[in-house]
Amino acid sequence: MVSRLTPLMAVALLCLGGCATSTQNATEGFHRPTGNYRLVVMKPDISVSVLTAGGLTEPREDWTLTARDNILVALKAQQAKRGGSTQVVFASTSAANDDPKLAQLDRLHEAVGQSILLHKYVPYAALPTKKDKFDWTLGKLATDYGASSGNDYALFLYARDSFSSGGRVAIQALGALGCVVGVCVIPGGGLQQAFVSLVDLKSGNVVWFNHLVSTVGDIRTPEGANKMVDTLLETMKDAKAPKKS
Amino acid sequence: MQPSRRHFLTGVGACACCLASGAGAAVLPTNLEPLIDASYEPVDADERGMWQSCERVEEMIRTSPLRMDAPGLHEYTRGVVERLLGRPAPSLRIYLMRDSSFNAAMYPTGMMIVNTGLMARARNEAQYAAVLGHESGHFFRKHTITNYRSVRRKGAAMAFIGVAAGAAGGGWADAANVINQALMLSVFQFSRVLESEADAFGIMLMARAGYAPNAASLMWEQLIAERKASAEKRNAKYKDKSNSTYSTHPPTEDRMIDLDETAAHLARVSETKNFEGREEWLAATRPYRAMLLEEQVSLNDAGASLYLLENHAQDGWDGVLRYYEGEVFRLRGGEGDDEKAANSYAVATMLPDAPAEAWRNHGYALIKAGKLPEGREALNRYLTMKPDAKDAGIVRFTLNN
Amino acid sequence: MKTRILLTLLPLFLAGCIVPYELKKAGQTTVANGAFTVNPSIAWNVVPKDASRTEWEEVWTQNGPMLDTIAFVGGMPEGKTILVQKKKAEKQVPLFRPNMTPQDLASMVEASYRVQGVTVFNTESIDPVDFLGGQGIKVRFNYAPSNGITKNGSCVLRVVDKRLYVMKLEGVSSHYFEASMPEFDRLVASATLPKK
Repeated sequence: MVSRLTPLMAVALLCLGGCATSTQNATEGFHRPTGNYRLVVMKPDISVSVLTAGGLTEPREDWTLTARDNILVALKAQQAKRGGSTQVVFASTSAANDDPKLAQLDRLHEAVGQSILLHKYVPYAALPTKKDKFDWTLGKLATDYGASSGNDYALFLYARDSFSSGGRVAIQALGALGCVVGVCVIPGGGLQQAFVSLVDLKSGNVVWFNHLVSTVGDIRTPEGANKMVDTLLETMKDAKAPKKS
Repeated sequence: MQPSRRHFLTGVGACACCLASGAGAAVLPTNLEPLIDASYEPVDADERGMWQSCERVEEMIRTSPLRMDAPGLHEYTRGVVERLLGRPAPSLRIYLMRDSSFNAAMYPTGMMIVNTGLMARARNEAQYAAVLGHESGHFFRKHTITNYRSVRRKGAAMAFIGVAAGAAGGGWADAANVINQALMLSVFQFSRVLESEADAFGIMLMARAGYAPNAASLMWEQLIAERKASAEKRNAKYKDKSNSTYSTHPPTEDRMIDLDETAAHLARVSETKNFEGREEWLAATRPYRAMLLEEQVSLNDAGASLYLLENHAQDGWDGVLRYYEGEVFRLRGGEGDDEKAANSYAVATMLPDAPAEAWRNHGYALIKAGKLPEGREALNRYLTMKPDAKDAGIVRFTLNN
Repeated sequence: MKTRILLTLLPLFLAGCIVPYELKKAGQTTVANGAFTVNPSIAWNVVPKDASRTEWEEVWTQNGPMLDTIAFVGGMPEGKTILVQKKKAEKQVPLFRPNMTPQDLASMVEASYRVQGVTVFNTESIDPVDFLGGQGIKVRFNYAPSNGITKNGSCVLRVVDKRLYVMKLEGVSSHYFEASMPEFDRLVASATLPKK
């Protein structure tokens, strides 16, 4: 019996045919980074919300900050284990730090990341031309950034309770101001959802992508953050492993 | 009966010049003091979480391609807001956004968004100030967090559905939807009370700053008239959408009456100046006038477009306005519209400020009507005026064939 | 936006009649219900139909519709619109008329974006182009939807026997539009009307 699913939880559709908790995709010939390399973690988009009794997700700033810190610490430890230095690029909160190229890259990745999520993780939306391939790219914007920053890889990380881009919904619904005041009811089930993509800044290609759905785990705690990062990254396999689509 | 803004004006607390009246007459809203000032920082957990979401939104807005780069207009807007507040507000951020819908928004973090759709419709500085003042009301009276908490309290009723559903992540949809509808109704009603409060606060700011207090009700009057004009041209019925239970704004007719009466009262009992600021407004928006008109006319809502153009033409029709009038008819393309468009373009080209595009469209219209030599002449005129026009390629081709 | 599409497809999926993306192999093929033929040099994915699409349109994608699409409109008659819309909608896409000037055709394309909420739309050029064995026009444009991911477009239109034929490439400005341009130009050059 298929359970009914809530709107805005695109990823929950994964569970239709039996849920994989972590499914990764990689390009042909992918080898996980080893040795000395520079990895930049791009604008970590992490949000932790409390699910109220009434079914509203209420973002908690303190939890989100803690989770963000924990995840970044876990990421740094992860990367240290396999060599290379990890530098973190943050989302800017003051106008002086705005970098329009970075913002552009971030928006491009959002479109690409959502496309990957849709066409590789939702069975009936698969693209036949990509049946045994995983080849999405961020192109020149990424390679230019790699050249100017000196970074070899960029890691984009999204981790949140409900998979709606709350900020973007707010922009689109300016007229109602509804979502910011919480009138947009976003039902959640306490799911932890995350996806991470690794971009090779020499080619601009998304070389590795993983998505995580989990009903346990608390990224506000160091243990929970470690577990989430481990599940996502530790299992980063070389391309010889079977790719799931 | 929806709570009217008058309720706030006759509300709690001592007020200097209350008039006792059975119906609840309008008074100076001295009891609507700000709950916060411009340098406010949130303390409660739920409020801080909401602020963080707002901050994320602001980051995206700052780098958005929809953000207008218009330093002059930005300074002018800031000037209007600070005049309303009666003091500088350096921590307030103002973003002018390219969005054709009439709106402005004030986020609790002190970020104000103003749409080009508002700029296209305001006729003077006072009307502009009326909307910005209303939005400031939301901010200074902490409406966002108030509304949010109310929504959350009401949401508690849904808890039992989650338990019954059992499984994590699913099971809400059907039953939840039904309950949601009922809750949404009361949620929106609560919000309407807040909108009335924001109206009251806005008009208080207007009066203090010396703006004509009737500008607020005039603004709404114009909006209703525009919607009615739109409906009429489509042979549709005008529906005041605010009357629907899902509206977050009080019914516009009621709102208008409220604002009107308060303004009239303020004019009687106090020494309010009545600054409208049409010249100042025209000067500030002149560089953007064509863009603002283009955004509206290109939506092809003929009734609304014509209403707007007629407003802009209150000091006289010029070449730019006649050009856009032609555009309205050309886009609508109904019976007789080709002729109407042709006429407007022809008139436009006789006026000194006719844009080059008027000549082009005049040319196309003449060709459509079978007047080839005149049409070619007009198209050639266009190319002379704008040799590097974006569509020079097709215009030259048309001329040669 | 995507979630809404997914939600729309969900009941169809559950009912077992979902339309998945289909493979379009390289080589001569008909499009838009046989209205004309084109000759793709690479394989494409055919995008399942959604509510806003008319019966005269077919859409392909390489990397997913959020990133790039090629739309084909074939044989659309007078009085119809390139988007499905209510007759009394406040904002209207102009009805197609065979005597439309190049400016009218370009405005029609622009309107199809404006009525969907796009405020920032820029026409980059309008030029003559060979299409379906005759003279058409090519409109190059870019626009910024509210999500801030700017897109570029190249739209070729021609009126044949009072019917409208269109081919339109649309792609994210960074990388994806340019990546599909060469193939789009090839497709336009290969487009042929059926022999009478």
